[in-house]
Amino acid sequence: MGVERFRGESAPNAEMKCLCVLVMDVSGSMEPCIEELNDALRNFFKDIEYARGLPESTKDQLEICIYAFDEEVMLKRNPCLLKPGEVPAKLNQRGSTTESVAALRAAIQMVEDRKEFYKDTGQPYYRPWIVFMTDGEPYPYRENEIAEIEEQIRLDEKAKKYRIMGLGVGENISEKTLRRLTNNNARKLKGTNFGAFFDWLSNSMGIIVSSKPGQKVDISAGSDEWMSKFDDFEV
Amino acid sequence: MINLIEKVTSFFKNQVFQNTLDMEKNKSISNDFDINGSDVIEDDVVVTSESNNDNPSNNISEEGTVSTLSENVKIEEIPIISDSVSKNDIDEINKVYLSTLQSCDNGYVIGASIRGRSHELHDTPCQDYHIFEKVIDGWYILAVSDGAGSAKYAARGAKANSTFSVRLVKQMLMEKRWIENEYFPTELEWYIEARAIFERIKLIIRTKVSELEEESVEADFNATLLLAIVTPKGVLTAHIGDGRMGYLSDDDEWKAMMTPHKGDEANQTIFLQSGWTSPMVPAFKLGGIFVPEITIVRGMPKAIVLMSDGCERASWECSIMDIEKGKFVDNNIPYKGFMNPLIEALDSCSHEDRMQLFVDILNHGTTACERELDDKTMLLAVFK
Repeated sequence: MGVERFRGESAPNAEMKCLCVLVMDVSGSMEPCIEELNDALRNFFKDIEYARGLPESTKDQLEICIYAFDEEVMLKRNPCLLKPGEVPAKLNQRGSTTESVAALRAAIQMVEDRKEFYKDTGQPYYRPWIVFMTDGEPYPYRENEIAEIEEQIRLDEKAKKYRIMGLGVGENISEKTLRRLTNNNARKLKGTNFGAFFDWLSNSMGIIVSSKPGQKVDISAGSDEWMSKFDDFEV
Repeated sequence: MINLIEKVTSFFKNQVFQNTLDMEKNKSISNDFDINGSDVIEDDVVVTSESNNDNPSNNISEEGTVSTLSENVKIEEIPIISDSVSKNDIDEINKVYLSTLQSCDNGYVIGASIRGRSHELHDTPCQDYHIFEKVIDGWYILAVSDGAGSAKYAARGAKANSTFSVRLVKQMLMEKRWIENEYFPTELEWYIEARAIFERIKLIIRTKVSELEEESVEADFNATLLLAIVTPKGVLTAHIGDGRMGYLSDDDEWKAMMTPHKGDEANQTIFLQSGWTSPMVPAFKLGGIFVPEITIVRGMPKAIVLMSDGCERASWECSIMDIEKGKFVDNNIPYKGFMNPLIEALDSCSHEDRMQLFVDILNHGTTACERELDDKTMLLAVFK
């Protein structure tokens, strides 16, 4: 008798969820690279749906939430699993201001709300991720707001409420400010290689959802395609 | 039960814990035990390894054969704490690190520890371990340990926890004359003995780690321990950490024999090497469960099963939607939709084919089996 005659089934257990909040700058200065960003985002969705190089369960575990921001913060995708054949909403740039702090506040609130939802519904979850992508400084630049959220993010990361990373795009990026807004966890994109970044992000999410919380994992593979090397971190 | 354990915990703080802090006693205890644990392996041991060069039975010396349970035997060093478990010790096709198959009480015991795909990806060995040992007809010891993914020597910790627990249980059974007197202990008695065994293992490991030349700490060997003793009158269990233990009752109902220790975040747990022995009032609990937790099942079950958490998503109700509550809950029950067909399948095949089928089912039997990336250990005893 072979395994094909085993008539058992899996217990209908909930999958352990992993929330990834993408916070993307679509202010006017992103205009030269917005199409590349949209293409990379579409491929990111496909990679997860078709488990390209990823554990099959990733699509049942990874919840993606998307915010776009310029002078306002726009929720482009509520956090949930990808639907079959889903294509991300197209991001459009507009000539306007860059309300980075407000966007980060919205993302942090979303993380808190979703964690409450997981707890209320008894679903196990990994530490959520916030990916903050911008090509410049917050504009208008309000130091008191920046200092306030810098401190909040520092304390939140210390309390392991979420993990945040920043991605600087283009030559006008202020590395110092981006580091302040991401608890010093910021990298600069090589050119406009969003494709390599999202390949890396999907692979990293695949590694994370196949790990145990507390386990040290290495997500540096492929990162030199678009940035300098990451250190190991705790899930 | 809770009051009982609280009383015993208090007793222990006075009687036992002080002993465990006595360094002189540490030394005398550790001299009795080699950290390699090979002295627990006798000729009739049932642990077999399909491909494990680290298998104690392959390394045992004449010196290492134990003639009586209480003898302090000097054993040549084999690696548990001292050397790493080789990644090459894996059967590359089935990923089986360790397997067990033996007839007992007209039934059988079958077990496998299988390296998870995430461990392949991260180039780490299988960090689970298990042992089944028959003491005498009707008396069996089962141990499963899951090394912490974050621990440097998780595999060695899992092996140490398993081997020392079996050795100490055998010593306890002999010295307490439970087998001779066909004695089945009260909850209080079992709690005292189980806690003593767990504390002793922790102490041995702490002592041995301090003797290592490399700069290691106890936490480098963090691993869980699930322990079950089958007797003619029932089953005794004790555990620290996560994983699952359950049994099939005489009236064909699957029930749990432990509640996994879990922290606030998913998959957080505690290990035998953690600081659970520190004196605390009230007694130390994790997630509302005493550490260690013990259970007693009176009467012989039809089957018992121990597993690391790598098997639970397929075979256990651990995150099931409760329609009335509108949320997922941990029912903590073996999933009969998996466990019954598993036993039916194993019953229906020949003894020779049983292990291959068991491993195939754990690897590919259901979607959850296929998707699981963690190490998997299941140790199943079916009594007829």
